[in-house]
Amino acid sequence: MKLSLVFYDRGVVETDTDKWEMIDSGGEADIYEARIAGKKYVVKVFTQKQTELAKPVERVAEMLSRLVRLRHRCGGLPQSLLGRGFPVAVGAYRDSAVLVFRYIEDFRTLADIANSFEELRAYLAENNLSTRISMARDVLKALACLDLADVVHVDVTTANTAYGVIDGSKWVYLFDLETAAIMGSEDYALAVIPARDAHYMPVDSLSLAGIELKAPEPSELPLPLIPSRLPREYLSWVLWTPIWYGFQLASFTFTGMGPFQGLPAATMDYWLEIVEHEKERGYEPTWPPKAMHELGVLEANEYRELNNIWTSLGEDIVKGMYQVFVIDVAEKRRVPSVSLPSVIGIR
Amino acid sequence: MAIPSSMLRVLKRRPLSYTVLVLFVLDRSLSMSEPKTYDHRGKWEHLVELVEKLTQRLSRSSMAPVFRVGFVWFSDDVYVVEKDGKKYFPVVEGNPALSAFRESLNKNRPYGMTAMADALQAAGRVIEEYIEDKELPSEKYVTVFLFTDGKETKRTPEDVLEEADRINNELREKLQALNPRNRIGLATIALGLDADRETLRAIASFLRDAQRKVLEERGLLNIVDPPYHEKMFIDAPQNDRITKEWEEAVRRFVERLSETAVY
Repeated sequence: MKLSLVFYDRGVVETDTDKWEMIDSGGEADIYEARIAGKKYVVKVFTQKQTELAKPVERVAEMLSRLVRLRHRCGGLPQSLLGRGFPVAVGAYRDSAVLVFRYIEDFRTLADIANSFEELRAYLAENNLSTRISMARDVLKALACLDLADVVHVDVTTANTAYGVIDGSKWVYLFDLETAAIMGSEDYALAVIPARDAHYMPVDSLSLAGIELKAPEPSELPLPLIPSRLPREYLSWVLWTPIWYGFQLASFTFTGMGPFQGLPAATMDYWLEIVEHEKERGYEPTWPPKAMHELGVLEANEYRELNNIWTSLGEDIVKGMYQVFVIDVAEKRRVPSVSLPSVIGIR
Repeated sequence: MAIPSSMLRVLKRRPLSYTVLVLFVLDRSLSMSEPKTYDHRGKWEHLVELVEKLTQRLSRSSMAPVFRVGFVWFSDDVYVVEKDGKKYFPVVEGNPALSAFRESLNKNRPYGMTAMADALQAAGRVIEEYIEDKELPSEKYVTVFLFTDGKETKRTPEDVLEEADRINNELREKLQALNPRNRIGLATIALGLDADRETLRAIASFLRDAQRKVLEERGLLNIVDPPYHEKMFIDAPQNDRITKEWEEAVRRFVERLSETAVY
């Protein structure tokens, strides 16, 4: 079947869908590889239901226009939003929305990398410290820009982050942005609850720390994020989620491990011990927190090594992580006391 | 670039905040050798392929590190797959679950009758071991998948109900005593019209709303517990013959239920 796609940089291009190759199929969309006008792309064809429910084309257009408006504040759009975050073309296949993304060579997700020790080792070896610092900071900047634009991306997981090559350079790229909700908008409501990420301490575990927070029930979706109408525990969940997961994603991008790594099991029970210890001693913000060494979960040399590495990521980010993961948890704050734009210094 | 050795040590430690036990309870009675399938191979061979595929898919899932997979074979007797003192295995780093399953195949070819109650009892013991496993974090989820084409032949259908009830209630309480978020589910799949479909439906757990939504979105709800779509039960294929489509739908059903155990 012939299909017309509207490219942002070269107008309408006609393509033959019979030549597309399906690479994945899920409930929300089918994913294809396609060669269009001599170039390889990834094409996402949403189910009819998802098209109606989530309005993906309109949603990404709205996000992009908001981000473009504040591009100067972000200092240009972060690279990690461009590869698979925003489409280069849109179209419609029968009644279904179609988004076209740039093709990422040597595509792997950060989850694929973290699941295999060999892959992880290779990732760390092929990206030197300064590259990993740049990528991690770019990921945080991308999330901060979304925050500034009132875009709430709750599905910030290692499985939704690609690592691969575009135009000859390797980078990390956030994807599935078209599921992000827009704060204050009835039209672009929350349409997904994030999948649990095997590598993350889940945001829901904050409720075990005494923070009144609850994920909406899937049956309540789509849920417009209108603060005055949202139950308080949902609003807390919406405000905690991007920053709680954002720092964890940055941590994986930077070191290939989570911020809680080293603990025998990364659960809130173990973490609360660390938090209480830090609170009692009133330490300076540092990462990993000193208590991780003092309580014996990290050996002295491991602690020193990790501390040196984390310090290289930047004092601003270490302070932000400490504030969100330690101080705010100790103080049982309903919402985080800092935002990603303030941590990154773009607000 | 050299990676500091102490960093490697920390990286090698894989802390998890939760785990999911996927326990396959698999019928190897003689009727499982019947070629009631689209390619005329025995049902047992199809079941083996299905479990292999599922174990491979779990290893590629974004949640892969959290899965622990166990296997219980049953016919006249019950065989719990065990290796190095373990009865459930990870699917990452070489997929030890898949190796343990493959190594069990020679000893578990079709023969005999259907000791389903005994199999569920053995499954219960594996779950208890998982609950008591101190090496894993306290947040634990369990989904049991019972595949059978027969009726209880050693004990009674009431015993099957009783053993399933123990999993659905007693063990659930024990699991939730560790952590109130913990959950347990029992899914049943009838591999033929001769299966005790009534009992299989009766013992299956109810789908939670979130799971039903996911199954609906994936276009799978129509094959799950028709016409009610309430329970984790897949009825036998029409015409008593396993088709490619049915097999694929079952694979996706198991995959989705495994991944949504935490929902």
